[in-house]
Amino acid sequence: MDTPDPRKREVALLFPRLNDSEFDVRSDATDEYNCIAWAAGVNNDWLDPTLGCSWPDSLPRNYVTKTFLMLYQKLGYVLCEDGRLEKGYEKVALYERNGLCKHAARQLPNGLWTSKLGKLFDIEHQRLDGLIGKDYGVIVHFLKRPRAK
Amino acid sequence: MPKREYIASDLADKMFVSEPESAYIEQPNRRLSRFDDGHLNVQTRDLAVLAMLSLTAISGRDEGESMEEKFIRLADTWEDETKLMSSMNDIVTNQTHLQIVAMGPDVVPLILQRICHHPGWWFEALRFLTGQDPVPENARGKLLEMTAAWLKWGEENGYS
Repeated sequence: MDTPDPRKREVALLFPRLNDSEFDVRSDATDEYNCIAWAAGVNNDWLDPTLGCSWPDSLPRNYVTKTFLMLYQKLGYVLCEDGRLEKGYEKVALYERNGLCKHAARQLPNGLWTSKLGKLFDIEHQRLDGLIGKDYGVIVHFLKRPRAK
Repeated sequence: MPKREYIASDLADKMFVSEPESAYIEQPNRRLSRFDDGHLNVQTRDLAVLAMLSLTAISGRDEGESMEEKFIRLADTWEDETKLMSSMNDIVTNQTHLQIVAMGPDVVPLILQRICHHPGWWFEALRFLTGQDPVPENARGKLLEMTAAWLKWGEENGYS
């Protein structure tokens, strides 16, 4: 019998909507990047509007979702209808709670999603709604950009 | 003077070091800067205000606990409470983080010792507690580079 991965057990406890068979942990816990950076393919930066973090000078320093739309548009994304897999594009889903952006997930070429969970791990998950809840709120926007070759 | 009063006074001194108290009374909004959506934007001085407010929430639980023991307990709690957060504002306005800041500058060596082994987002607390910011502009957001800048600052300022 396989020994349960304690990281996976922790994620399952934090996100009861995530079915055990529908996700896997893909990294160790790290504070080096956050979900906002990871969704854009960055793994060495904490992208955040608070002073002291990395943030484009031209953007407002607040957490309203509109500001994060501007951030991703600046990174080459455009709004799109949904999270269905489209050949040649990578998509990002934004989560919002109380009007503020709380999480972002990125679609992988195989249609799975990858999420950096706060200061914890990267996970790959089949469904976006597994992360809906009191921490990250609900999914409010999808964006896409041409996938790098 | 009781220890907690001393800490509160020390924080108050830091808060008003660059402006007289009257400036705060006359223009309170100027001191507590906010994001343009109305949510609190933590800047160093705001952290002082919040830390002072957090003093009112500190119970007698630390009786008999050394400063180091208290710091480790609060630091572990803070890291656990904020582990799912990606918003730095949420992370540094967390009540436990504010309690650590409210412990005053004596925790600076404990923070530096902690980040030496376990880098984490202690930089807002360090900025407030020391009044310094040794992180170069191009290192902002980069945890390991920011940690290295603070550890170097610690060595240069007798904290090694």
